Amino acid sequence: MALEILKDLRKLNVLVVHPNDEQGSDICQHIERIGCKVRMVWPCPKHIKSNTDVVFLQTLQEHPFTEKPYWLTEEKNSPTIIAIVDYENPTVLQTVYELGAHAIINTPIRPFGLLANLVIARAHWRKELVLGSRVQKLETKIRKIHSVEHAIAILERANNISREQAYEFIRSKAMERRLTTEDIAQEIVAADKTLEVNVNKSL
Amino acid sequence: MVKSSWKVGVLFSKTGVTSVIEKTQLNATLLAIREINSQGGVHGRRIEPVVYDPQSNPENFRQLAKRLITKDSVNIIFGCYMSSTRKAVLPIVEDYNALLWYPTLYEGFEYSKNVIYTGAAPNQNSMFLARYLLNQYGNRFYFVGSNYIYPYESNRIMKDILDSTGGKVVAEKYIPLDATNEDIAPILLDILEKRPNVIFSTIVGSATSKFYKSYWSAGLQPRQMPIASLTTSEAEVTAMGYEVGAGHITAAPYFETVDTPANHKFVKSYKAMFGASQCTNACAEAAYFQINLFADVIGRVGTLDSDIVRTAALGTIINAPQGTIQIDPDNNHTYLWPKIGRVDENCKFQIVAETDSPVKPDPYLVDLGSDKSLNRMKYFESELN
Repeated sequence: MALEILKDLRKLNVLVVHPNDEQGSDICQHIERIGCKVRMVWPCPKHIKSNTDVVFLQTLQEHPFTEKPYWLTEEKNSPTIIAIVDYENPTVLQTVYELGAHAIINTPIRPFGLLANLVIARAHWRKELVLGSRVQKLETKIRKIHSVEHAIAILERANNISREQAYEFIRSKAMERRLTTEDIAQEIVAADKTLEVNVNKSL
Repeated sequence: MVKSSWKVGVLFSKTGVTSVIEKTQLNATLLAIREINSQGGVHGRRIEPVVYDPQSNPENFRQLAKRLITKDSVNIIFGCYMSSTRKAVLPIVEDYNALLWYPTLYEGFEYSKNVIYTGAAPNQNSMFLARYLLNQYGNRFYFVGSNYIYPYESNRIMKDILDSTGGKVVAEKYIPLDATNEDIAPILLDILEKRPNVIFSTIVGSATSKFYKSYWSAGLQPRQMPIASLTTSEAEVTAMGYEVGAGHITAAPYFETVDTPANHKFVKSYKAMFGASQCTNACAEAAYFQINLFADVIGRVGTLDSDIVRTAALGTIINAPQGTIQIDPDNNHTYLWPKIGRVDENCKFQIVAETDSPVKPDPYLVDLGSDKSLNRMKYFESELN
């Protein structure tokens, strides 16, 4: 099991956002030793390659992010973020918090702990991803249920039929036209709105 | 005028559970130092070892490492056997920027710029051992080990290797470091019941020979179902005797039977200094060649400064008893020559398989599964039943 996580690490593209100095190259060397592909860049780039899996980000308190790059704020496809901190003061902690870092490593960098942080950061990142997509699915589902309910209400009112009859009508139309009940429901809701607007205008 | 010496620290246990093997590492260290000093030292200066006995105890290792650095003004330390003792020394050498030379196989997943690792990483023994055992004995493995970090991690690595090569682990048992026959008896009963093809043992120290002896007393046959190990060396086999040890398997980069001129010289000097009945082994050999490597380095740089010595040590190639070895600049570990040995009736390890060139250390097992070095293994199987 543990090795599955490690095997996964072996395929990672890691970007180290850090000045090109001894510490930067120490971090890169150790990430390579662990088995990841690594690149270093400084200053913090506006764009990153879409296949970037993990970003180690040096957070300098003298250069807080005035404008966060898009790849740090995007909900989808954002990389795992590991903040490198050299101070534990509130300014730095605020920055790290706002970055939404999945883990922190502190300077001076020691190789010991880097692998552990990478593993736990990836685990948190994956959990976020899974939860995020679950929330999205649930939201879509709720929207669909809502539109079907809305359509049923429209049909009941307009045609003076029962709830069951209204639902059966939507279902049979969906079967007939090989669409989902949600699609039919949306059409009914849209049509109702159009009629409402037209009726109101003409009055 | 008397020139000052090259003062270095030496931490191997003369007492405690792992003293049998650690004494051979101490012996080999002192032998190498004596040989260098008898030829005039390095730049006319003798190497002067400051030796303490940490008694196989991690806390003693930690305190003595600190004492070597702060009281004896030493920054080069040769020592440690058990991983628990290395882990105890590690923060000390890192804090003081000293350099630990560690001549013992271990479970990998470590890199410190303050350590030079001259024993085998798991890709240099476990992988070869798994391949050999699967080929020769079958795929049902029984794990038994001492109750500490090295056996846990070694077993986990072995299990991962077996998972990807069609092997099965039928049981995984641990016994205390100071295990008694009462701890061992139920495991033997379980082995008799489960009938695996091979026992993978990560028992270390004095319990090793107790386990092999009980195995023998129970009438279990090593030719059909051997105990395979990474740590059972000539030292442990000598302690248990040939009738107990014969037929069992160990993977290591060195055995006393290695046929190289450098090894003939090493074995001869070792026996001359410590007695004809004393055997060399892989841990002792690493302890020996790392002193020679260190002497080579200070011969070039003329200083004991940790940063300068480390930088010069990385990439250094020397002729060791096992063959030509090199410190890998990528990870401070060592290119070594994996071998499989089987104990014969003369209590010697017959080399039954070996590689044709040194294998790069891979402490983080980056290449596990895609490692081509396994294909460089040559088998000498004429004498297998």
